[in-house]
Amino acid sequence: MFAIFLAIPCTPSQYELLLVAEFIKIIYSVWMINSTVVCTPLSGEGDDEGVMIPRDLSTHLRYLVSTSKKMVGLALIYGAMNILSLISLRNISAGMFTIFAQTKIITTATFSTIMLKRQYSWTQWRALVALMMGVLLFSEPIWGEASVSVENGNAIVGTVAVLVEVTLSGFASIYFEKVIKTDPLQLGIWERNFQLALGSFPLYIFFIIGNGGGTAGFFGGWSGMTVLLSFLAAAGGLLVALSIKYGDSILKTLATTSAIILTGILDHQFLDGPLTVAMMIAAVQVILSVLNYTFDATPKPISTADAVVSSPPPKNQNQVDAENQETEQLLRRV
Amino acid sequence: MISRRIGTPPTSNNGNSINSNNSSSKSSKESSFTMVSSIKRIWSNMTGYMNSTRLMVLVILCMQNSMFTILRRYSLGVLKEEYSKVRFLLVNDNMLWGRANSTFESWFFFFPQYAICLQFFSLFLAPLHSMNSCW
Repeated sequence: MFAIFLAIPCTPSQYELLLVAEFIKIIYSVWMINSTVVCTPLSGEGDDEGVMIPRDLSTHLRYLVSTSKKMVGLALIYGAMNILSLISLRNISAGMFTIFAQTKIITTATFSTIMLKRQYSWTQWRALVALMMGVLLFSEPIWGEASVSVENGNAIVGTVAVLVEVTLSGFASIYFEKVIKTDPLQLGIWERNFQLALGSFPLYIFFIIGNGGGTAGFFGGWSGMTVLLSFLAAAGGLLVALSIKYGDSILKTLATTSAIILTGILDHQFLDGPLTVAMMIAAVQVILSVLNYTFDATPKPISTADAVVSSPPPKNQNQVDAENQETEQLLRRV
Repeated sequence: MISRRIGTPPTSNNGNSINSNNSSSKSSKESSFTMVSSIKRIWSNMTGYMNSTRLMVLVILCMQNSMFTILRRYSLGVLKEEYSKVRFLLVNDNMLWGRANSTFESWFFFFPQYAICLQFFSLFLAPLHSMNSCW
């Protein structure tokens, strides 16, 4: 039944799929925001100063929209990255693009060092380089697909574009992490997701209209598979944000990189994809690199972002009063 | 392989020397104890760094990426669903997912946000397609 559900052929628009994914993200984020207690400081004087009062959802959403400047900027950076990838793939081959694109692991770590003042041991740097090499080796089957440059393409333009793109990618990842962990507004992960999805939403609508709704017209040709992919795309965005919140950008990169192993195995098992000996060796290399990075025993100082995350959130006056009352009651009982 | 406690010198009954039954049984107990304690120490280091929430999120993210890639390949390579007629995307689809039997494509998902950003590419296709000669 599930197979039939998935196997219905259709021609939906790519933009529509992503628009729906963003819509799902917005709905889920609003639901999560609503389920948490939203408070705002009371602007009173004397005894009322610092007291937190509940804020209703619509007011809070309006506040989120008004403070979404940084996330909209991030959405624009992602857009610029995509344009650069497009330019690059028009000028250099997919194999060359793949090789240059792997440096994203290193650029992310570099920006982490610069922007978040994180320090990585030599073992970790070596692990990241080894990981990059392992991933490159794993994608070996696509290396020989094309020559260095495509027809009528400018190899220099393509190379510069992909290098700028990987630099922007590293910056965007760390910027997102910095905003989540150290921004003075201290908005939650769902609030940031709401802002990011909101920033992407108008762009999708613009391009759906510009593209005439794709091959099947506006919102035509949807299948069970398309719906499933939309949910998966939405889940991907939310999971990336969660992994940055609970881990960091490098760990997130490690997780997405490790996915190549699972993808390769599933691809070989179900879709008759290639799984050569070189790929198996590369898979072992990737796993060992991830383990080397993760379980590096070198002691390292805590960075600004980590310190902010690990420290407990400040208590408001109500919480302090409640705790004091509980303590007093306990003392009376004793 | 029997591990020994860090910081303590190797005992005389390690190696080929012959000892009494009591001392050898005592030694084996101590060795097993130190092995267990070493495993516990390594495990606590691992779990200390990789707490359960973090590990769970990362594992789910890994699985999500894989599932997304595989389903996209299935959708485009096997079911032959079309998501866009724009040339660039077709090139990418062909390169990444379209030829399910001959190519491997999931390199696109190594980087951050690419589970979504790959499709995000298509956002900019319409204006760039019209400027094709410029590139």
